[in-house]
Amino acid sequence: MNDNPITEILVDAFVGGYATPEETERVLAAMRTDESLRRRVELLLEMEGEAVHELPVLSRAADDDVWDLCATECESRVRRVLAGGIPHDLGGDDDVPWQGGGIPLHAIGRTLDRDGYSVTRQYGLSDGDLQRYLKGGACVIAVLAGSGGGTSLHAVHVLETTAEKIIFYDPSVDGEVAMRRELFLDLWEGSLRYAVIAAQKGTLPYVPHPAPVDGDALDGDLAGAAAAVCEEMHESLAAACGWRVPYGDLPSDERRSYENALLHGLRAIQRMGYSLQRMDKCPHCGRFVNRGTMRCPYCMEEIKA
Amino acid sequence: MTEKDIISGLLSRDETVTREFFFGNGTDSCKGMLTNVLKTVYKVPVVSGRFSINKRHIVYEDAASAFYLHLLSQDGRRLKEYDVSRGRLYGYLRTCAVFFFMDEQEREARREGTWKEPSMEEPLEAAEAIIETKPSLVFAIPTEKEASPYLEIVEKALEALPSPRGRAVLRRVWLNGEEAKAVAEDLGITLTNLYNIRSRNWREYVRIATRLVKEGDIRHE
Repeated sequence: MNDNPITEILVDAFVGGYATPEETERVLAAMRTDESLRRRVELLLEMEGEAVHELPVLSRAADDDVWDLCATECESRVRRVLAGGIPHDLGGDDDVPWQGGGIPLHAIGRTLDRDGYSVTRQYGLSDGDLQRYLKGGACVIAVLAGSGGGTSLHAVHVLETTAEKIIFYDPSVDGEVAMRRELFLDLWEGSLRYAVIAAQKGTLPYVPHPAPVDGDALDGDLAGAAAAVCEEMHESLAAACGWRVPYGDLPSDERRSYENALLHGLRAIQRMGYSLQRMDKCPHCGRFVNRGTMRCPYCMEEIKA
Repeated sequence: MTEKDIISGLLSRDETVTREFFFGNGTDSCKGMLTNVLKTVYKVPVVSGRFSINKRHIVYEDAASAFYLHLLSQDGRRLKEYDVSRGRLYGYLRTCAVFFFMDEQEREARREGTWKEPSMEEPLEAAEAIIETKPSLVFAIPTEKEASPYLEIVEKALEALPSPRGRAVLRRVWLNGEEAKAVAEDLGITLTNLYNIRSRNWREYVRIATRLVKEGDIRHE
């Protein structure tokens, strides 16, 4: 049994980045003599690594809005470029997915969608990806950590990438900025290296780049339900595309592709701030009710735990 | 639910909160985290159900109940100790869970007579070894109390960080206690970016420091 005086709160501070240098020193000293403690820290680090990607997109992106009108200004600029330099108004306020504090990441580029351009939104890109898209004639709006404090983000229109510098149009200064590549990449991390890429229809040098989904997203009950949902998706696609192979006869790798697509879909829903919750069945009327509900809202019967 | 709601709900044994927290599938649930801890500690599948089939499975419900009782033990000390301003409840509970389940595992191994006592070394010996071999690094950080050899690891892990910016931010803000805003201005970055850099590099820092301790680097150089 571990009888080390190092407490859980101290170890969590150490792993989580809240420990002072003195506390860090205490934990390190204890780990030197207590192998069990060191194994615990290693396990936590292993899991902390997973959390890095787990929470990123999930817990953060719900409130990841770009501030001010930078995104709409970038869109307007991109539209001008794609239209061959012809100025193009954004249109009425109804067209701008404005939500008070800012525009959600997933809404950037919607007006370009509407106007018939090819648009894709991707997380986890590299500067190499940016370069490839730019060389292919696409326009790129990247989202960087903003200067507004907190978790504010800032959209810029990327113009050129070199080995040393990234050159972009910054709406906040209404001009071009050449930033050191290293600093740009640091700032870009603030949005998990998110970018919106737009091009003329049919010319987008598109390479799929799904957002990372780590951990057991489809655990427990949801894993069981996943196969049923995938089958339903297949039924719908088969009807639309005239396929004649039932879901159960698909090779296992194709079924896995369905599950993967479902997983990404669920993650995207969570990323936008929605939650998935299993409901209970009312034992009296059989309807689904929220878990923990004491009285069924449909039949008004009492539900015992 | 806020972290405060969860803590107070767990402490007061609120049935709705505890059910949702341990067994729900919503965003407030710790089920995914706890399952992950169980898999990592025991290296066996975690199943959901009433009965344990054999030792090659962990029954989630049993494990979650035992962990909840553990959190409530000692008058809920572990829950009361948590500072909600950290916004890291699940990370903290993961630490508690790793400690609890590893204690359980070690207790079980002792009972079965398969427990291997980890090798222990006297900290004093390690301290002497360092002072003899590399005295210049030992007292690199000014401190009022007597300097410890483990401060060398604190320093060495910092030096081993691959990002120069990460090194600068951690050294100045964390180790030297300089004001974050001033450091950000000095480095020509935003405060948000500084915190991002600090957070990213801290993880790397802890990994390096842990590796140095494990490899006994402190004694061999």
